[in-house]
Amino acid sequence: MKLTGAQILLEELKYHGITEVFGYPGGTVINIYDELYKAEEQGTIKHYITAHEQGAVHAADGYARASGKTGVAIATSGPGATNTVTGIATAYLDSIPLVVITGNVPTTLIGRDSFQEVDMVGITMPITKHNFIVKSTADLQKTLRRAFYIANHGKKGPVLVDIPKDMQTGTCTYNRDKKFNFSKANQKKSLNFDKAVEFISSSKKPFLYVGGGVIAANASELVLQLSRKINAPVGCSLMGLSAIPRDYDAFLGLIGMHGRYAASKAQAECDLLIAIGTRFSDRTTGNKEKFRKSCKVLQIDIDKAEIGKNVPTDFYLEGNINDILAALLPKIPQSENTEWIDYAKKLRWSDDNFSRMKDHEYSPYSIIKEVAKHMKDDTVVATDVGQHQMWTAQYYPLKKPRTLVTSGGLGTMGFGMGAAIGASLAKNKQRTVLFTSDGSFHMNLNELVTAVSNNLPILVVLLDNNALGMVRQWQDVFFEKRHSQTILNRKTNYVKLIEAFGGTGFRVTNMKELADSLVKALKINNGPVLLHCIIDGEANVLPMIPPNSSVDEIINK
Amino acid sequence: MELKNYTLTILVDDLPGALTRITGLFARRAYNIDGLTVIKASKKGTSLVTIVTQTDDRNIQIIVRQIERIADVQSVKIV
Repeated sequence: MKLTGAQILLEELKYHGITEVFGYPGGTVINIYDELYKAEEQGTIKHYITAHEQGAVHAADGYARASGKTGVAIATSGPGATNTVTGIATAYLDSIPLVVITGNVPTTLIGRDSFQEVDMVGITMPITKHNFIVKSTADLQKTLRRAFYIANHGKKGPVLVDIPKDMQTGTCTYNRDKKFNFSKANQKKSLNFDKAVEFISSSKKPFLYVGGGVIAANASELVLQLSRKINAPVGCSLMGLSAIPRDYDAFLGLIGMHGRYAASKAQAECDLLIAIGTRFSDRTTGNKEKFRKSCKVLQIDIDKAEIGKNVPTDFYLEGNINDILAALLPKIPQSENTEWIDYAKKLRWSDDNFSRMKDHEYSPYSIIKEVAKHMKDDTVVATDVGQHQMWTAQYYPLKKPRTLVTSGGLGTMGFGMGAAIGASLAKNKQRTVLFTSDGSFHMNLNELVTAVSNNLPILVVLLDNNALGMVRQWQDVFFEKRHSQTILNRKTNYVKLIEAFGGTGFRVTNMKELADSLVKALKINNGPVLLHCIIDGEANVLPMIPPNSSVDEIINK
Repeated sequence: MELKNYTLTILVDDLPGALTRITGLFARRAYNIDGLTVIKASKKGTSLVTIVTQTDDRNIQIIVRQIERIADVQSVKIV
């Protein structure tokens, strides 16, 4: 069967089970959009147009995080392509599987500074797992197969495929059933389970440090079993949040800079740190020498390049986390020693672990908790980046994996609106919550149009402190309160703003207004609702461990 | 840590950009390249890249693992 390149792309998307894609049309992808038009008529693939290509990639990213599937985004050449860069880097730092398709000028015009030509392979080389430019339509099928393989194989991540216009119009024979093998030869894996069991058995105070790899491998249940079997408390990185249900009594929450006191304290006192699917980010570890001062480190990760990269490792197991834990668990005896885990549980309920304001007061914490009361266990919570993100990470009672969609590694302000759209679509237009702030929201609020056009019931909870709060907080602590460019004094009327886009908004200044607005907001199921919550401009995220420090230097008040 | 000279031989797919991916990794991670050669390898469709770099025992392992992660790289050896 002879097909055009654009048709081959659509066939390959279908082959990989893709039913939703995000993007924005343009000159060098018209042929692809012509095929998308036909696919939509056939009901095979639905395309969602966003307000901006960055929003499209964040939406594909949010879709992938909430569903576990591969996100797909499409953009035209030149500015369309460069607009995807922040979205791609966001997915790369958090290991989210994406396939991003960009158009490019015809191969005959490449390298001549043609209209809307940029070297996307060059631009995205350091922020993709791999990228391709297609130079022959005959290579397109193999390239796309390989792109999906790389995005999902090993540590996941984004892959970009740049398809010049003449590669989309060119034809070649296509056979859907053609088989490809992309595995590399002679990959030896070190799997000495007996040695790992020795490490674990000789530990009196083991601690599980859980990262996003646990969610990627769907290994939450086995991590819980491990915790119960060896009586180890559990802490996590930002990307690991939602892997362990908040109500598990040995779960201490986020470790690190803005983590919970109990989690950082127990980590600092453990004698064996079992790190599962995590890369020891500086935001988690603080000072790396102090971080592993008292303990040995046993690392479990799918990617050998992560072993010992940021913190030296005493022993490691390389491979799929779920497979490794399934093989390891039967070899470990049930621990009878509960002294350590009981101590950790006491830390969880100690006064030092609650540096927040009182529950009944109108505060960021109480707003987040009040919103959570109205949500289901599987409601996806998206965030932007800054103080509101940390408050959400600290206090939203996440119960199920993949219910938190947040930009961890790159810390992308403006991520939230697009991501919430993707997450809602991944869950069949289910209600999704976005916690955002006046700073972050102004960066990508244009994506409200996408939520309105597609009748997505996204509850936008905007915490307005009239500041770029996280930077303002650092200026308070480290720069003698010189608030350079962080007090915004903007006059935006958010209620009118969302009404102009076609949604609904409420202004909130106290707990009573919050409760009343929530009741009204939750009756609206066919579009976005914004709660403009005006909060104390001086509220800080606590506790705080200063950069390159340890729990000994924690600022708790 | 004691700095030593290491020679890496890297077998790569003979594709445009493969060398850029390797040298780009060295540049991004601030590893210095003291010597570099590229020749066609005996295996069809592959090239052999030889890189000399100065670092310590722990870092060279990290460098090797990061090069192995590049999709176009087939294998890496420390000579």
